[in-house]
Amino acid sequence: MDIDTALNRARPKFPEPTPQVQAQHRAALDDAIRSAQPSGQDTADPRSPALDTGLLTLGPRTGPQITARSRGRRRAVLTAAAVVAAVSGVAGGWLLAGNRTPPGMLETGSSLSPTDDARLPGQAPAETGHEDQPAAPRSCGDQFPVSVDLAAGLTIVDGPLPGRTEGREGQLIKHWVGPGLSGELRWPQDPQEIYAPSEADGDGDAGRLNLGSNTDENRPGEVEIFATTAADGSTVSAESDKATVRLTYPRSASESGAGCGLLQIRFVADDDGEQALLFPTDRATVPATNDDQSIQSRTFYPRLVEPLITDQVTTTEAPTTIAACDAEGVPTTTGPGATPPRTDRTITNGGHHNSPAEALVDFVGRFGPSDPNQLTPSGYLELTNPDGSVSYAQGSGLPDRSYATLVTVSPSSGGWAVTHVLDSGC
Amino acid sequence: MLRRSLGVDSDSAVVWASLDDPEQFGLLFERHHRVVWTYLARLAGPDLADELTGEVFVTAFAQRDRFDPQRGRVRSWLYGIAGNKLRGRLRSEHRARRAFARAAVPTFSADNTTIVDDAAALADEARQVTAAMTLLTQADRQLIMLRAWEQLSYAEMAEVLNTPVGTVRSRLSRARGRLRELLDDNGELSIKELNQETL
Repeated sequence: MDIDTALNRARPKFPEPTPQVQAQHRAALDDAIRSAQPSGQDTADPRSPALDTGLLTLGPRTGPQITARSRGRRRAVLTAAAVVAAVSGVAGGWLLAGNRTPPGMLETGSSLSPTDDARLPGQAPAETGHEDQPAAPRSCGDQFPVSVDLAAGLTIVDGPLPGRTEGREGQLIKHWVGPGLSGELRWPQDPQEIYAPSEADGDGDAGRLNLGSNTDENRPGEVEIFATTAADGSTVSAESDKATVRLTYPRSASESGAGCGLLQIRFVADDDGEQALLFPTDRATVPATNDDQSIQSRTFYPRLVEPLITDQVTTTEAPTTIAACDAEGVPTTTGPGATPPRTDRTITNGGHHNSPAEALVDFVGRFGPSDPNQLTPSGYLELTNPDGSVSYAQGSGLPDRSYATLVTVSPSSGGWAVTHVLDSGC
Repeated sequence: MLRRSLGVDSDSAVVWASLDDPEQFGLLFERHHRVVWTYLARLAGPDLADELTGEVFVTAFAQRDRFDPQRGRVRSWLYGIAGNKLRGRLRSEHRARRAFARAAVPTFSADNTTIVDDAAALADEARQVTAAMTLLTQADRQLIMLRAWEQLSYAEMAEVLNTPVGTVRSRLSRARGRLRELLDDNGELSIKELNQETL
């Protein structure tokens, strides 16, 4: 049975909504429109709590602060909790509706200059809630390579989130605790876990929490991170300012040492699990152009933090079928229009390791981000085969027990070694 | 006041224009009301679509300052709001499953080129597929529907679900695997599994 064809045939067909329903819906919208003020100051917006008045800002090591945006009327974004409290209701938060640059547009003359740092007149540079830096040398730096903006009322402090590991020596760790949703930053990232077989859905302890990110060509060098719940939406969602964090990259590319190229950000929801992403620390990765191609290509994507091996099974037959890529670059079965595997090669220098997993770690680590042979760094299914070999697979669930990537590790007198790689390239 | 457009599509321009002229937002209603209603109807039936589609547009209007064209097109944005509305209404998997079971009654009908036996077999296949989809989680069902029924690209799905494209792909792959497991080689749903469900 071709599942795509069957799904297409099973697609329910509905008539159009009745004219009465359309009229009701239009009337509801018209009511909202009538009650709205120009320039986006909607009285109908139920998400604009009066106390959400700004963002707390942790300054980056270099580069100017970009803490406010304008749309017709500039509004102050406050940089200290005390000031936020004092002027609550006066100054608008960057994240609040009505205070953002309109989508896809920029006022002529608007500039992201240091003068945009809209402290109140006479206000000293803000205390930002973080404590004194410890004396111990940091591996990558004493401050994060990006500024981190949280919604009003959230304060970032040193150390790991309660209940999480202390981290390794030299690691810079800060966290914040919010209502229903907390977060933590680590630089450099935690060492990758090797084995952590996950729940059936492969998401481990992610629960219903999911992180997404957003860049905007109008705000080059800035990334917003959104926390959402995929299944329910009842605890936190992208609609909540408390579930949004903004990273601002300094104007000059950060100069990071080895292993410092990624910043780890973890969100933990009270009831909905947790998820962590790795963000590049190099500003050059954040789109700064406004052309359509850049927007479409979505060049900036964070990497999901997950173990190298997330599931294990024993097979009755070693997998040999590799998927091909369809026209959209998606793994699929071989068929018209599908491309052959990108890689099908025997490996002769697969190393000598104590375990199959160590052989995989070594092999995956050989290829840098720009290497065309780079393999996915996490989320492998470990298949123990009848002949004693071990296959590491990406893309389980594809038709005909095929996979997007298969790395075979075999035992030898010298230990375990990667012996063959099949990679679809998609 | 001069502004310059940065290559956004016309829907996005309407959203922007509506910030100064709220009436403009009505154009988006005209363009997208039907598709949002149909999306909700496929997910949960016409009754809930009747109930929620209006709220989707009111919410979208209230949140139009937050619409970001780089995160996706207006349709994807509206789908995302619709999904949130529906999840808010159907708090549990059980409710979502029941709503989908009621909504997804196959409406396959033979066209002039379909012989009668084939039509019966295809209609039966459609029933099996929708029954199997009923057994999926709401999240998996939504993934499959966005791809197969709404025919969104992976990038658009990522926009709707506010999730990286890679995550969408891997989850869709797993969801399809589960769906496939629920169907045997002849496309017949395991009756035992269906019976274990309390719809």
